[in-house]
Amino acid sequence: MATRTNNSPRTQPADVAPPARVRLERWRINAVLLLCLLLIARVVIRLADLQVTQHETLLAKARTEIDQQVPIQAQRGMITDHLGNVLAMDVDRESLWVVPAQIDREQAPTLALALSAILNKKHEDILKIITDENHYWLPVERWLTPDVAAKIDALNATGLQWQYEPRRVYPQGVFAAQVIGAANYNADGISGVEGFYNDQLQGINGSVQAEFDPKKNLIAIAPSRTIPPRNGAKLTLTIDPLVQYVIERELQKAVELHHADGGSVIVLDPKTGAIRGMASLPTFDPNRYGDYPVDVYGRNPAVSNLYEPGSTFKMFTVAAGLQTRSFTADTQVDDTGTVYRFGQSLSNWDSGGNGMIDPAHMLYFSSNVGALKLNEITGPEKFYSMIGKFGFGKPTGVDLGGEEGGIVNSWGTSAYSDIDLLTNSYGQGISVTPLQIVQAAGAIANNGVMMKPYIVEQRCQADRCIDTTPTKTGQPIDQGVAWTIRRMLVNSANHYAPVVWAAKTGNQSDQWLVPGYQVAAKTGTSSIPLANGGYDESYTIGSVLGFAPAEDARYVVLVKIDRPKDDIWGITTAIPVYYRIVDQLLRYEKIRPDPALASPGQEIPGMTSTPTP
Amino acid sequence: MAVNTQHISSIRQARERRISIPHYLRLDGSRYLFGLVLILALMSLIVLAQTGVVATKGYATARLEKEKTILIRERSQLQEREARAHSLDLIRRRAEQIGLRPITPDQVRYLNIPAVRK
Repeated sequence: MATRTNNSPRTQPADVAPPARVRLERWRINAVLLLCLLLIARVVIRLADLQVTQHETLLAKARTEIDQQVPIQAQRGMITDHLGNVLAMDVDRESLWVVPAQIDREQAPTLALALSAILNKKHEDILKIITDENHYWLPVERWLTPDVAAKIDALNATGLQWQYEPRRVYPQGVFAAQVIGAANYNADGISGVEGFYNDQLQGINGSVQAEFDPKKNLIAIAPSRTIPPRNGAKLTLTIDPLVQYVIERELQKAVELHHADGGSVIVLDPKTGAIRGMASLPTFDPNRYGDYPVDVYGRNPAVSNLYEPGSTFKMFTVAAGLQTRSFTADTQVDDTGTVYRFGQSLSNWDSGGNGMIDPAHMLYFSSNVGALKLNEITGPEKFYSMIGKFGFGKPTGVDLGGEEGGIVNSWGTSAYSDIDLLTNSYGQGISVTPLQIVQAAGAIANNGVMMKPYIVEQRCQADRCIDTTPTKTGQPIDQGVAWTIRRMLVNSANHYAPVVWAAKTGNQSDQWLVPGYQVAAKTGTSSIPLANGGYDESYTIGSVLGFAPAEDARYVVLVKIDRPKDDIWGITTAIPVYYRIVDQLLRYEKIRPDPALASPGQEIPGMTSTPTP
Repeated sequence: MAVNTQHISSIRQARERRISIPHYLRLDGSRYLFGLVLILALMSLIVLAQTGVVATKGYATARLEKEKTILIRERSQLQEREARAHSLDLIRRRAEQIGLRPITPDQVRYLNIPAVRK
């Protein structure tokens, strides 16, 4: 410590004694220095150990924890109809998970009860899940709608966790269900357009290779590599929503009214092959396809189910003969009502004869005997050649999964027998799909040119869209032959108009099927083959195949009703459905009716009826 | 090591002694070392600041990504609601609820609209 002097500074004497020197022992200083050195050395050694010796090990551990590759899921492509309405899309839905260890044991029964009421599940099942301590993390219910998720969130229960998962949603439910098909819980398409275009709809997942913190936030200071996902293609279907709505409603009403097993209706644009409507019953809701049998959600009856077309096939018998010049429109054959060929009796539907008839009257009376006699004139080689040109016996190539090709025992194959030529003339002994016969009728409607049916009119990937180009599959008949058959089919349609109009007009004679318009139609009653041979005696398939207007047709329409219980012939079931569909479609197309095309007692709305003041 | 002690004078005396600043700034060769250390320290601070800014922006980006995901989800849900609203069956039922009915035959009128030549 320094010594003090009592002298004031100003009076400090000139000679001052030097301050006393205090000396610290050197060994104390050295000891402190050594201690500091040791501490620093300890730190340096530890640093060297971590940064050099254990560098690779620790780096690997760090990389494992923070260096991750996180997938970026691609979104499955959207499906819309012709007018852009969404039919299928991906939506993120909240899935409810539970951490049983975090559940309050005393509150568990109450929580299970509350959840069972909201989720509509059994209370015992939920309680078992939330108290299962053998698992850390268990799903309770997946893909909840936002309103249900909000109710569960409001319970504010500990131990419940949420996770977003993408879910394929079909906002319009059963609408066009069999055309769209369904995607399973792994987002794989299993039927319809979803199945056929699965690869394009799925897209390609991306990824991010980077460092992530424990909360899965990306650490931006470290370099990262991102491969962006490629979302699935957006598909626009050819389906017109109003056409689809009309045919679904009319088919539903007919099936319910006549207690039928089911049915199909197809509406095709003959000029392009675009399918404007395709409906079948029974149908399903793609949002819960698992609740339905697999042959309902996994098959589209319009392209997968085979049936014997019956008398609707007669128009192709006539086409085959006229095109090959085997007979003309004036050629006559003797319809005796019943004939015997190859040891079998073949007869008309009522076994009654119609005398000498030409092809037009064969169609008009729907004469089986007339048809087979005309086919005898045509001959098997020419007939089956023409049948092949109309596309029978092979798939149409439509972009829908599960299409069948049909069964034709063509001449020259081992399955052919001479009786087939005769029965095939009136649509028995030959199997077709509904779409096949609609495509073929499209050739008659389109001046002989047959177009390939298609269901997707546009595919868009990112900003690049590709439109489907209508494809001509062939020209089985000449323009003149097509015109001739169209004229015959108009008469055929009018012949069955009394089924619809007789009650109102009091007239059983021919009249306009759709007043104001010339429409073409041919009815058919198909026998149903049984598995062990022969045909079902009790039930048939009633169908009508036609197009409207007869000239410059906008739509080819097939109505097929399976096993109506109150109509053995099926015709009285199918014709009214055909009429109602065509009537609505023609007004939808804004085609002005011709007031001259109305029979006595018939009305054309807005033209021949008395307007209300 | 020599230890220098000196008489600790009072504050008044200290004030009167007039400490010479340049005496303490006379670093001779050490000034360059001090300068280098200062520059290195500054650079380290800058790197630290940059890292901090980038890391902060990274978290901000992550927050924005989360917001974007939430908005995309909301948009999908709205799209779904819109798609459900386009159901023709639903439209028909709503039309009937507000008193609309399908037109009767006597309510139909046809108008001729002449074609306009260009």
